[in-house]
Amino acid sequence: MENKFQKIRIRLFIISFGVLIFSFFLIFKILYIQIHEGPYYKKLAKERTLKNFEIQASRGNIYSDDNSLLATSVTKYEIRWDSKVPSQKLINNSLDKLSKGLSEIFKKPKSYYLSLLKKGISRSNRYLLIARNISYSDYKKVKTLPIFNLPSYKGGLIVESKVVRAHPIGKIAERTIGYELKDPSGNYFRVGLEGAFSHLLKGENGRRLKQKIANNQWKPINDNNEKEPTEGYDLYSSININIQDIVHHELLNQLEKFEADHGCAIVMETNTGEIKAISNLGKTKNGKYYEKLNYAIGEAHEPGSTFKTFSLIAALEDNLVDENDIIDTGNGILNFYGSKIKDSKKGGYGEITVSKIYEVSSNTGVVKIINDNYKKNPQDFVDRLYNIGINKILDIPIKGEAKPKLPHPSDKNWNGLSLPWMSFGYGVLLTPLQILTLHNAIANDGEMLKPKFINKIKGYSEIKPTIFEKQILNPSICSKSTLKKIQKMMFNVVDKKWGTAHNIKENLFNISGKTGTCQVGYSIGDVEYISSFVGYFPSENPIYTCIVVIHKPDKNKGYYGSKVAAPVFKRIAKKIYNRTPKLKVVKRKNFEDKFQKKIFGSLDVPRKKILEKFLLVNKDTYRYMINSFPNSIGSNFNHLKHKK
Amino acid sequence: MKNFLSFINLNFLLNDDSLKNWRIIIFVSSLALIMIYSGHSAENKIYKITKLNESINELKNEFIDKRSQLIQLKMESKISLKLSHLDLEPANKPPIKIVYEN
Repeated sequence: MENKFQKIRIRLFIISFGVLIFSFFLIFKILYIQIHEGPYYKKLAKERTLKNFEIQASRGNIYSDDNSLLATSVTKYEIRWDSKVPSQKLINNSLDKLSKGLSEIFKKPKSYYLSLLKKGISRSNRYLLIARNISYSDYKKVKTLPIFNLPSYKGGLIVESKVVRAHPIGKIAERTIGYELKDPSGNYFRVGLEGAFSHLLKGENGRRLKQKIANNQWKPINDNNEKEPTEGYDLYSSININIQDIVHHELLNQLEKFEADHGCAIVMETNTGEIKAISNLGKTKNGKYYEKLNYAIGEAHEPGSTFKTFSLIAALEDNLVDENDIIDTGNGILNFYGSKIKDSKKGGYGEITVSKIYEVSSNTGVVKIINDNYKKNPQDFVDRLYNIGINKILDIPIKGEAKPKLPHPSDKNWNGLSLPWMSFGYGVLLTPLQILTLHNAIANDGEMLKPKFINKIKGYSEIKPTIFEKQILNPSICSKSTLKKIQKMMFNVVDKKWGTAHNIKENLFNISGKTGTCQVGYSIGDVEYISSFVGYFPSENPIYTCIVVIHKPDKNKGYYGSKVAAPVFKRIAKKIYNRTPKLKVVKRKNFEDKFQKKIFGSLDVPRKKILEKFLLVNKDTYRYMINSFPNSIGSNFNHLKHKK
Repeated sequence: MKNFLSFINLNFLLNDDSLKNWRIIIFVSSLALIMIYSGHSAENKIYKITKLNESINELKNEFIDKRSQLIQLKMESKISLKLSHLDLEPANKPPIKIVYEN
């Protein structure tokens, strides 16, 4: 018994000794990890659970003049699929339903998706592209489809999101609103307002330390390094959506009609220089038009006849001619060192006044005025033009403005042809926006304004916006008397029956302007034309100045500025004019009387028809009018009454 | 050794003067409870924020979607297109606005 007890004791002793050794070892290891390897593991833990997050500042919006959105940021999603994840059983059961659902969302045939998914499975594609650039609402629908509604480790759905810029008004004014692209090497490619004001729109990213918690979420923790993001500024542009829409579609119609290569149109508010609409359309290979390049800003071309305005301003300012002086334009052909200048009218205009030279746009007349008076001293003529500011770049915020070119007697290639050709707009290079700005100065009583694209800039949290006032480039381009004469001539271009743009005369309001028909490619023998019209309306008290430039219309269909560009101007002007209601103040007691006689009675037949149609649709209004004005409406709408 | 044994036997909770120990224990454990609770509620708030952010995103996208549809519909070119079957077209004259005066 004693022996047995002894045996157990020894065994117990050995075991406890072993346990003791083991526990010493454990304690040693704990201390070793804690003290020696501690810093390494602490750092690792921190790295895994703490992260410095960059908080993206949201990019500012671009608004139109009535605060409608022109550009804003939205999230777009890319849907991909890991075909190895779902089980065979799941695929057998749901693949058909999934492709059906996808076809309903993305409006593509079901067979397309079925074969796409099957191909993905057979090639064991782990990153199969299903759809790209889809909106949030579509993304939500995708998430409810079979297979895709499962967690990603069961269904294999991979979603990537990115913030992109959206243009709610669509393709209209795309080039002017613009965009910003970053190429793989990190260079920015900036277009339009978006590019020009990128530094203001983008804001400044913030920083914040966050700790990992469950569900793959991160919780913010305090840190000295913390920085709040600064939201991007909002831009309020001067673009008016409705005018832009009118300009876009009128230009498009005419380009299609004349199968022109490209064209642009700009509408500017006369008194402020605000650009209300700017449209640039270029032809693609298959004959469609889209906003290809910002021709209005980036393309300098020879202005042709529209430049005569400034030749005449120079001559009038120097008192070399007066508007009623008679100039002999002869048979309409002038010879300069073997080069001919011709008038568009065969046989010429003979003896006509200076103002009529402008109104009929006689090349020989203008050349005679300028060349005869300035040939000894061309410097005087050019200086006049320089004083107006024709040679200066407008320095607008949008990048890519083409430099104007105005020959100078000190130039190396100045020769005997330079002065006469320059006087009717050849050898000179100007962009449509520059021509518009110059003519707007005439409409705006001599004050030349810088084209304005942005009215104000406002920060997210700021109460007071930064407002941009009108910017004067030249307070007076010429004397008041010269201005009056030029304005009268521009009015006559449309008003007088001999004027080049008499075809666009409008009864409701007056238009002043100048046509331009310019040859291009004359040096290489392949003559094409640039038709343009620049003008303002209403003549007496101009509100808008507008230019239309159409490049290379089909010569067989027409190429004169009066035929190609001027009608676009007229339709734009008319539609803008018609947008502003005419006020009629009526006293209450004779309202009925006035309505019957003056307003309803004054309607022309087509308007009455339209009103009838309107009333057919809006029965309540019709009933109201029948009851209120039985005499006037009753007589005109008896047939409607019977129908009821 | 004696102290150790009395600790093991939980004498500090059972003695006559254990009341003050109990007080501190309850205080500390309630502090711990509050801490755990606030930690959880902070995390819950983060989940909530994520959810709300998602719904902001959704609403913003929907707003822009609808807004762009509206802007497109308001444009003159669209209206004339939609009304062309009624033979309606933009007016030839500006509209007349009647101002009523007593």
